[in-house]
Amino acid sequence: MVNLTIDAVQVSVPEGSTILEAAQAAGIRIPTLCWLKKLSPIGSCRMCVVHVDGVSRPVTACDTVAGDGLVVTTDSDELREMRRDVLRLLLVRHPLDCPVCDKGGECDLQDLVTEFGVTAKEYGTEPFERQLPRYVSPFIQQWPDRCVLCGRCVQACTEIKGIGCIQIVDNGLHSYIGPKPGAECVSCGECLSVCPVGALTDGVRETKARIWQSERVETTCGYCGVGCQLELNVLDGRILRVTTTDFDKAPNHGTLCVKGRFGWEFVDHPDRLTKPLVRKDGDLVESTWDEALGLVASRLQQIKDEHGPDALGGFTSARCTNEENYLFQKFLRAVIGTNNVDHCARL
Amino acid sequence: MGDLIFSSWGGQVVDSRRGGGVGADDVALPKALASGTPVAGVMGWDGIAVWGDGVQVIDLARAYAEGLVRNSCGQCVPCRVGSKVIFDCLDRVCSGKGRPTDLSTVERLAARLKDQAMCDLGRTCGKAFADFATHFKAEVEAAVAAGSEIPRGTYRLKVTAPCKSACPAHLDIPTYVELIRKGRFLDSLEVIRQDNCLPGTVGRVCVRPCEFNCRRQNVDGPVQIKYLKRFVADYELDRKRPPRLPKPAADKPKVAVVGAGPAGLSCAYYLAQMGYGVTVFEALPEPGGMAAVGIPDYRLPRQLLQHEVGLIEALGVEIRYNTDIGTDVPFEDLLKGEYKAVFVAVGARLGTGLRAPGEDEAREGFMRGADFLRDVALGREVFVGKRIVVVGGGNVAIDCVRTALRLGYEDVKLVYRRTEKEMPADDVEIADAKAEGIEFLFLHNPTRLVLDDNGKVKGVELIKMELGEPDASGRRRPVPVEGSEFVLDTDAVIPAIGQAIDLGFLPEDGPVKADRWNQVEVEGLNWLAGVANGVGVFSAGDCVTGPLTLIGGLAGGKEAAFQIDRFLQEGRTEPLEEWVMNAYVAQLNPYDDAEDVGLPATTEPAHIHHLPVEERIRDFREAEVGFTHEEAIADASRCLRCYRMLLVAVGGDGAGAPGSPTADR
Repeated sequence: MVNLTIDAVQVSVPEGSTILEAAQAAGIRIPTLCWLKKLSPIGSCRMCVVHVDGVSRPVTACDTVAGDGLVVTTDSDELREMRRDVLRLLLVRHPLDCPVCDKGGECDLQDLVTEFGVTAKEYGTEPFERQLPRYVSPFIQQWPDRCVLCGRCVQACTEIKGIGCIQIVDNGLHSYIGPKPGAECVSCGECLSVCPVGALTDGVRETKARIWQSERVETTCGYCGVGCQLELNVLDGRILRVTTTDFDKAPNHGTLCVKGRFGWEFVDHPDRLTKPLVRKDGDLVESTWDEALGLVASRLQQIKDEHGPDALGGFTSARCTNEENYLFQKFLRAVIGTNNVDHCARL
Repeated sequence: MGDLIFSSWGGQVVDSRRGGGVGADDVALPKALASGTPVAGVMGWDGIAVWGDGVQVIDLARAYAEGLVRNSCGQCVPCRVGSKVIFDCLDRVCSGKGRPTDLSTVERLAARLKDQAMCDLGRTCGKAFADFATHFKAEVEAAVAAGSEIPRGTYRLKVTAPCKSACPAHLDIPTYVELIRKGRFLDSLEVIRQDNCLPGTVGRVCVRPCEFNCRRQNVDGPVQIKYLKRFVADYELDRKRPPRLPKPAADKPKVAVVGAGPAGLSCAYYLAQMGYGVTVFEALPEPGGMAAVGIPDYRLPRQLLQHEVGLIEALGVEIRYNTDIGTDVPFEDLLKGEYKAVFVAVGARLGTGLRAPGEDEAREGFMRGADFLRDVALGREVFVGKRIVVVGGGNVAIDCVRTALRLGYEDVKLVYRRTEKEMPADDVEIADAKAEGIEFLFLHNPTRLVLDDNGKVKGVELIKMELGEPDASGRRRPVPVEGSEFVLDTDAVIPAIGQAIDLGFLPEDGPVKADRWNQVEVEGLNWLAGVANGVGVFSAGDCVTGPLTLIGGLAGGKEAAFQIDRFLQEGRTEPLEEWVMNAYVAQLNPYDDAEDVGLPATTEPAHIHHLPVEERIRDFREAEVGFTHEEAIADASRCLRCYRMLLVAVGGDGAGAPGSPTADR
């Protein structure tokens, strides 16, 4: 363990911890923008500057390893002014189009600008040209002018997904997040989920709502047995999008695949079956559950009686829950009396 | 401001505006580039200095800001955006449209860059802008008040880093280390391969001047650059990833290369990528030169070296083994026209003797270091007894003792005439040898060999030494203690005190001349040794410089390749502007070992793993085990990315458009 003092609080943290982690352990908040717990430190935003006694200039808390005996100060007029300057510089380029930005109301930059009382574009403004959103994939829109180049998306794509299909391209103020040749985007939306601003937005549904107008309903993804946790953003009973904002939640820690994040439109699709269909005279016609289940039960019974239980077999879906799958095999073994049961995920 | 002389370089302020009869000589910076172009002023990591006529300091600062805008990597906010805001302010002033607030904005953002930027590019530029804002306040205010345009100067820009500048091949170390930090191992290797054709080899045996110039050591120990390079090379090989190398079309003339050592291979690698048909003539049955037969396998497995050479051959390079130029093929044959250029890279393959009585008469138990290592490497039989004495203090001496141990010698001693402190061998090598049980005899020197009647070595007479006054190299000169001679019994003696160049293959009246140290004479930075029959003969590596380093050989081969290209395409040779700037930067020494870097010492360098001594000394298996992914990333994260930028104001010689600095990394 390493022992240090942060804002006069004694902290003891495991060796290799950063100053930021030590501060968090002590319940001290250091403002950050690019830092994300599930990524290794990026160190690009320079918001988390702190003073360390005996060290001649401020260091960034997120990527400076804590050491025994360090005496750290996380807040001072000078540090606050340094952080404020970061925000002022970001606003040189960042458009103040918050009213039309999907992220308005839950934007890290917006929150920090409010917190630090930056009220004007004090370092002048780059001539603002709305760059039309680029479609990274049919599901992900990129708004390059809103990007703060924090690098989270690049890091997440590389570290979490192991793909690395994006990178910082070009230099200086011309830098932007662009494709990296040699790797292909799989539209997982990991980049989208870690973007602190509205530079990457969900392109699935036209209807939008402010965060305070809609509701976030926590649920489990139904696509496979992993059990990823996600939030359905719901407005007036309709899904707007899927988000993952709790990166501490197991098993997926905010990570989803393309299906879980973007494949939910079937829920209110007009072609979706809402009643059972029974084939009558060669045509499928709408029926009732009683009729449909009665028909299935009687036919299964009939086949079993005529040909024996092994004439029947069951095949179940990965979209069923573990419990449903258990019941299904129980049904085939105990009720039908056959061992002919299998599951698509076994293939 | 025509006769302004000012310097804040290195923290020392010299200012003619304050009187005192200051002259240009008071600015202790080189006043010309290696190409002869006069330099009138510089702006860089250590401040601003102007001494020539007509340098407009505000325009100098504007051009410097433009350089930063172009070279800022875009990652951190103070540099990415701050550089542009600073540039806009200075550009306005230079255009006669300056605002009264522009100087204070520059001053404020310079302070932010200096203390808050992510890497040293922004930080050092911040220092330069801060110097500018401090010392040229009145000039800026006057320019804003006058509102007139400021004439634009001509500049050259160089982005460097202490490690990059110290590396003979100028590898882009901060970039490839950063890519390792980001987990982009193959991208990192691709960057390395731009300047180094043998990454896995150099990642094992480099003398690593980069690490001795690493600013992280001012905090808590250098970044392990050598082993990081090894890590990415091993990663590609272990994961069986296809190397990313260009597939060139060989549509240019043929070039002959003499010697498949580091310099020859490097030259062939670049020439092949440019489209030349390259034939390499190699006397040995395998590639690598001294890297193959001068470095034992426990340090550099030859399988690895051969794999890396295989990649060069895959570019279309033909290597003719067992073909000694001078014996099997006369050198003159290469000048007959089949090849439009010849690159001589024969290295320093001869061992040197003790210059002590007895060595000419010795029949058994005496061998020169280079010959010993070569014969062992090639599997030839060498004499193996019980006791051996190796003489010398360099890496070759260490290679000889550790090799002797692995051959079965039980009592292995190394004799060196100075103390451990003066040993030129790598500290790591010395520590490894000690761990393996080698006995070091410091402050001793052999005076004669003791032979039996058949010429077999029985012992060696040593004399004790003591350190006297410092010599030209700054090390204290060893002086014999008279009458202290004694005989040390031994079965074998190996001098490893230097290597010599074998230029016997050169015809006397040929285009290539040897100098008085028997090294090939070349034209400065051009590597041109002579022209015969229209065929340009170039040379680099140990045969030009004397026995130096593997990375030095690679660098020489690379530079020669570019000169050969220029010679064949343009009919002339001239150093590339990049090298001229490299040479200038090196004179300014970008590394300062006394600098306070401003970080707490809370990390330590990753440690390479070793096989246990009892296991590794049994044979020639590789003694070191590379980093794990976690170790590599953790060590790469310690890199401070010490890029820094130098802007040089040159006279209007037409090089570079006025006002727009030419740049390169």
